[in-house]
Amino acid sequence: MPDLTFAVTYRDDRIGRRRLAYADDLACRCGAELFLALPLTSAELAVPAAVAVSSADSKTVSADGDRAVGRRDFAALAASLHPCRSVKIGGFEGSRSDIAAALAARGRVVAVSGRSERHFSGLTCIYPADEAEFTRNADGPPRLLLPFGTGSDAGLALDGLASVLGSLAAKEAVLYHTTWRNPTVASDDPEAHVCRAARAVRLDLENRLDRLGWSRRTVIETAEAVPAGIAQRALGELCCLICVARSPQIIKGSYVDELLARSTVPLLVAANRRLA
Amino acid sequence: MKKSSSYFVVATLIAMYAVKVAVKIAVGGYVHSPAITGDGYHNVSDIIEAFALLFVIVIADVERPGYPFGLKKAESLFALGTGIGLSLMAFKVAGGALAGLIAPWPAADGAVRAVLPLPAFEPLRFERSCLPLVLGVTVGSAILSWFVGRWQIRHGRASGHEAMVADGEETLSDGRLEISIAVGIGAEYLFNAPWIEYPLALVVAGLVMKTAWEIGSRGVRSLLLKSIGADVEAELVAMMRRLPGILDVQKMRTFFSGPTAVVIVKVISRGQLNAQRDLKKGIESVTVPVFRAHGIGDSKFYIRFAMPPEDYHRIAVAVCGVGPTARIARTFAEADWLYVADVDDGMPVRIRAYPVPAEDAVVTFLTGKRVRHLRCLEPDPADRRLAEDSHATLRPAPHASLRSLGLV
Repeated sequence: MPDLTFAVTYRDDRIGRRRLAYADDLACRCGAELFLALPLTSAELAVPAAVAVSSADSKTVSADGDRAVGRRDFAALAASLHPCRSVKIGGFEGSRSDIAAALAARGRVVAVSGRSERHFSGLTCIYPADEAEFTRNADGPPRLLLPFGTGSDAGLALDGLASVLGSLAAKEAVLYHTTWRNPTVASDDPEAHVCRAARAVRLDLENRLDRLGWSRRTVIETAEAVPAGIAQRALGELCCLICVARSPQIIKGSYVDELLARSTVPLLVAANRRLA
Repeated sequence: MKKSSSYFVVATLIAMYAVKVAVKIAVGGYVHSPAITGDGYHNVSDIIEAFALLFVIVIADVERPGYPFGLKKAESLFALGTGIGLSLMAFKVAGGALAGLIAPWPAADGAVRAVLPLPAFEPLRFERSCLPLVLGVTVGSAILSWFVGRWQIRHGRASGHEAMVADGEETLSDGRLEISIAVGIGAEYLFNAPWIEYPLALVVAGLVMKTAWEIGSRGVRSLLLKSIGADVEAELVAMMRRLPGILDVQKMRTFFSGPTAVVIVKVISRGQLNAQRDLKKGIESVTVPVFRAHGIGDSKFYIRFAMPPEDYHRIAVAVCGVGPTARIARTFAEADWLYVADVDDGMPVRIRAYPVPAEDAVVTFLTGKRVRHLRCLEPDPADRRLAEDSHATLRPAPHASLRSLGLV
């Protein structure tokens, strides 16, 4: 069973091709397996299987739990969209629930997904926006933005991030916090206006990053609105990924949803087992 | 930082230079020292630049009706005028220095005066009693330049006025020139060699001319809307392309408006309104180091966002079956339906199902619909002929599911 898998839905259109390219780039960097998910309706599943095409130079075909309706050669299927470099390419075609079950049996799985894809619910997801590669900055370690507030979601995000990118050789984390001005504090330095709870979260995250051996920086500023501040800081720092988690206390208007709607920087949303 | 404190700094600067000009021209004229007089003229340009700085602080930053880029170009007019005036002063100082250099050789003096309009030679007043006065003026001036220059730079950084920082750096360089003049004059007295005055004055004239060139060319460059430099533009484009969400950067036009680099650029991005706002702020942030590395303190971006070029076209997909069991047919001959999809920016946006026309009408149908690509599961030679006759390309669909092509 593979240690880490990046799952992406097979779609032969512009979005599908870019997502596959992104997933492939990430899988290569992490030494992970690429997994193609082909969701089919029950009516499509009822259709007799077509002849499977064999490919003379096909790569490893994942055999566990696969069922072929159209094609079996997932490497060839992936190659029809993008010249993948991943060494291991597997897949599954079936109903959404079967796909979810196949993924659940696979150890660590990260979905490279769009907002409307339900068969990846419960997984840590990366939403690559319009990007076709993990990072555009070839001359330095990938830089990851980790926003934090006063809750535990930043810690969850860091857990998700570490599980996904822990195997990358070098990376830099930028801890980011926006704060309101405390009228009782005279200083113009935003750090002086950070509340006690956020200071504790910051300290915890910095300690954890130090234990992981990641290089890190912390940026504190006052921003007009939190999602705008996060998105703009991620761009200003040339970050390739923003790492967040959904807070269980938010009933409506999660910052994660706002970032999904506006951010051009890819977003990693860590799975939150408490919400499942 | 209050604007009034910036006014105070500039007012102090103007007062300092006014005193310097008066004292240097007076003392330089008294001792007949072209070096000191030339330095006094140099300080006249500093007064003009200080007024230009005041203008920038008071007026130029505000956009006014009819002046979409504000009035910063007025600073360029000042710069051009200063450059011309300083050049004339440099020639005057150089003339006096040359007259002093060739004065001991009347024949050479006569020959040169036949060609160049040199001023009348007045011997240097080289008395020990003048030394404290001369050194006091030059050294005192240098000390004043050092303190005021550092004050300007500190205030300019705190208030965000890059023009004040630049002017402060120039004030410091004036101080270095004044020290050089003091050293030269000291050498004259130390070695009892008044002739040192004239090469020293030529050096001063050269430095004044250099300043004139730098200031004047800056003004001309700004007035003629010269680009900020192809190398700077290339670095800006490279930096912008590093931002996620930017697909391309096109049609960059740059010029200086006063000290501000103005960048007008078209950015190709699929981002919507909020994303465009974020990208604009991101661009302004990541390009600051590029400007700073090229000595540009202030910049302003005018960005037009555009979608990727339109590639609106149609594809036709061979489909068999109906409703939920519909799937991509193996060949066009096996198809029951032709799904004609309008594709915009790589995505199917409109799909209409047509019953397959009669065999002899398919080509007419496809060409009439202006279909660019044909797709079926396993094209055979008949499908390749169909594609050729329809002036379309043929591409196999890797999977039978309509969902995989985004058709449901």
